[in-house]
Amino acid sequence: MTEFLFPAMMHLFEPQSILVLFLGTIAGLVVGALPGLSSTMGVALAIPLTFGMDAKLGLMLLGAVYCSSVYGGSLTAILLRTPGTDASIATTFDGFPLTQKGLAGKAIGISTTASLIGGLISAVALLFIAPFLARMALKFGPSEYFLVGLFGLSVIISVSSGSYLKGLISGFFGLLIATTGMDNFTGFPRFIFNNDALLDGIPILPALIGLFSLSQAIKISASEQKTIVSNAESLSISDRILPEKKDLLSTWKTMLRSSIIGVIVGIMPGAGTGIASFISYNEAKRASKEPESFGKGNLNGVAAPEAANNAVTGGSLIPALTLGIPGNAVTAVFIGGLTIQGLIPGPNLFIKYGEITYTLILSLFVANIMFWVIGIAFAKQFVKIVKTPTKILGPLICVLSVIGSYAIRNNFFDVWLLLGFGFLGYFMERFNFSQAPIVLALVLGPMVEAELRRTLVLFRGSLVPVLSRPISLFIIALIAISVIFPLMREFKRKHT
Amino acid sequence: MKKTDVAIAGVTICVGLAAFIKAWDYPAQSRMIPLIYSSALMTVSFLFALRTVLSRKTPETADGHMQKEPLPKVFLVMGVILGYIASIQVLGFYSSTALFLLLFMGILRAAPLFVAAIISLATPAIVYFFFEKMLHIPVPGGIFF
Repeated sequence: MTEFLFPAMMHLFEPQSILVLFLGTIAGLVVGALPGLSSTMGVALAIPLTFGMDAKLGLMLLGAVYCSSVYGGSLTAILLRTPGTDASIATTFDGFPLTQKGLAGKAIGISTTASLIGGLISAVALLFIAPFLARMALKFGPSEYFLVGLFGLSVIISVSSGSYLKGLISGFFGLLIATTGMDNFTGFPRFIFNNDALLDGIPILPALIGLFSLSQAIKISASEQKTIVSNAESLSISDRILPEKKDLLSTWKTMLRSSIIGVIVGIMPGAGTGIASFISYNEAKRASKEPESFGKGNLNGVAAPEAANNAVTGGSLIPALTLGIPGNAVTAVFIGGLTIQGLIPGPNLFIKYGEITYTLILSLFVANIMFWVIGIAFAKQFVKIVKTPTKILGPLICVLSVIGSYAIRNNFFDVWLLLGFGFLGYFMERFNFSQAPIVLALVLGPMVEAELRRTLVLFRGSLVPVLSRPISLFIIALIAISVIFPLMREFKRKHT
Repeated sequence: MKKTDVAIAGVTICVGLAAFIKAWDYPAQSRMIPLIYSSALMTVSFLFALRTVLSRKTPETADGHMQKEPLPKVFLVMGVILGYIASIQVLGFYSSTALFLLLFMGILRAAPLFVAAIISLATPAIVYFFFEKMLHIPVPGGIFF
């Protein structure tokens, strides 16, 4: 690890790195601040920009967009009670009451600082836990990778809150789509319908951009609202944003606790920023000497969810970078960005491509500091972005989506795929089907199939010997936990 | 909504069935996984339809009714986007984009004509300098620019 750290650090301070991180942070803040536009969409739209870039710069851009978009969601949550992303729903509980008291600046200052602390702690966790996990992954054979892929797919149960059957329909549909193209073992073309453009399978980027960006462009263009939030006119910050010492002293314990919760939740596939925020908010309330003040404008109620949701960023990249398991939709998109740069997630990322990987990890520190500086200095200007008319924003997203989907293969068929996935994504959202299972299936489907077939070849057509391997048994236990816990949670929720 | 859910389940069962029939003709090794996935898709879709029919609650009462975009407007937007993409191959990216933005903002009355015209011309220009010249990202070509 140490041999890569110094060169990685040197890359960070190159002028183009600073510029890319700055632009990524601004883009992430804009996407995060606009309710309806998710971190997933931000990262998906940023991927095409990375084509012409050096891998290190490209990944820095994606990392910066990811971190700052999670933070950006807090701005409208505090000012308008409209969370920019689901990560900031819990922030509205105390953030908006503070705004009503005329303390919007104070709330934004604490949320920005809490996000910084959460982001930095998660980057530290990523720096130290990921290489350890990567070393462990070196011992994995095809059967373990198959089970790891299944573990990743089990996330579908967690991300399908509301209806598991709907999530499973999306997931199996995605897995079926993932079998399109030439079978790598026999060379037989499957589901290509005499179209050579499908021989390599469904390209992931047009699918991602269609599902997450074009679908949103259709949604906001067709909506009746003039601006993305209905009460955008009431935006105002009149007090000081830079946090005061007494406010920091009263919230630092919450920030620290919530950051640790965020990292742990981030590592767990399927949990994500929203869950981390709620758990942390709950814990902050439980630990408080005045729990009755929560929901009425307690600064700890802002610090807890914001530290936690930004701590998820680094945490969720741990299984993504080391094992190739996307814990949520945004890390699935992130993996798509890695593969486009020719980097396959896994132990090799830390050995063969160590310099690139550590540059990405260290850049997260800088990105977090950068959004803190920009957030504190320009929050008043940034929140005005929500006044952008939806009918202008929608078509601009369409144009960016077309560029992004065409850029990877320079094949116009991919633009048609974008259109198909965009329409599909829109109707899925309209009828309450989550798009995340399709993305997870597209990313993990080929890996699961390949490793399953290798395992069957290795064990002469039987899966029973897999059960004699301790690592496999451990992963099977994780899969069981990952499937059973969300089901139990849902059962409890329905019967209380 | 109940009817819609059943209809969606019907569509996904048909997709699963079509994939199953198609995969059946593939060599044994190549068809194993598609057969598993298509069978699973049909099974979960059937269970979903069954649960929807047997459930007393409609999804609206369970999850709260969300305000949706009016369907005619959704189809109008989709139609304009479809037209835009189809025109790119003929006219080229830049001219199609300028036309699309002007038409889109005009139809949806997004901005005064003057503002719409500026955005329509500025966007392709920005894309040209930023994507094509700076980042060397190609855009689809056509008869015109």
